Amino acid sequence: MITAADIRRVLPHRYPMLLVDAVTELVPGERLTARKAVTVNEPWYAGLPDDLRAEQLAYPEVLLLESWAQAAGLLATWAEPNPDVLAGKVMLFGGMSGVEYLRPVLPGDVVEHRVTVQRALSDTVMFEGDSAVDGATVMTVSRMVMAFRPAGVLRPASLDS
Amino acid sequence: MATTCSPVREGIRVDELSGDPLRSRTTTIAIDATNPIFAGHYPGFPIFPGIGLVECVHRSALATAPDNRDLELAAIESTRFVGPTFPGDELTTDLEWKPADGGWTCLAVISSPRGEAAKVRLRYREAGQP
Repeated sequence: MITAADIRRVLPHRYPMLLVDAVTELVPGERLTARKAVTVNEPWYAGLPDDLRAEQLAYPEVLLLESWAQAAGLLATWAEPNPDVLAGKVMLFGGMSGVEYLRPVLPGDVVEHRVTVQRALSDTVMFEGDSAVDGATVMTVSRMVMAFRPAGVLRPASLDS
Repeated sequence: MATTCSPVREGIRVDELSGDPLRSRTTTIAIDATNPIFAGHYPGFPIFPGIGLVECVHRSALATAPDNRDLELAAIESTRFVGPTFPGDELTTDLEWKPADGGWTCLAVISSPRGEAAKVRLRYREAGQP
């Protein structure tokens, strides 16, 4: 089992944006299975009214996708991690298509992300996969593109020039 | 106050709302430097994540839903991220709704003060539908 300590050595994300808890299967360059436990103790639940219905406490869809994408990022960078976003080549979300939400994820759920490499080029990797809770699919991802670019592209100055 | 769980709880302003449910609308969300996202994305180098942009579009879509329908997100059909956004950026979203497949499609372009940040296409279904 790859633990949160190992994940922190590979991904630059930190609390409250480190959204993968453990990796249960990893075949470098091929596929990965990871876990994310959803809890009401995440900051997105702060300050909500007391009278909400269960579905209003569903985990935000975009965070479920971010969590899946971080699992994809682990798969992409496991062999050559660069947890520094200020130097070298950084991993960027290039885009995605065909992300379907089938049912809500609620606090208490443990989400299992399954990620497969579709295609890998020198500075771009494409993934597909899905996420499930207790064996039921909650989200499917047809394609996600991850791009590796020099860290400078993230600086505001690079856009001003 | 937000009534649902969201990583983007900043206030939203809706402009150009008219009686025509399909007319395009514009929203503005100013990303607060105190948003908890920035503590972890990334330490020492706060940058607003791509999924934050998608969330801004999603909240803008819910705030401009045709005929104030109760909609839920069925799919992120496509996104393309163009430029980074940062704490304090005021993000403007231009949205266009179209009926599609028993639900609705929302096409959006979201921009920061430096120009276009992302193009996003979302699909919605009526709340409670399979």
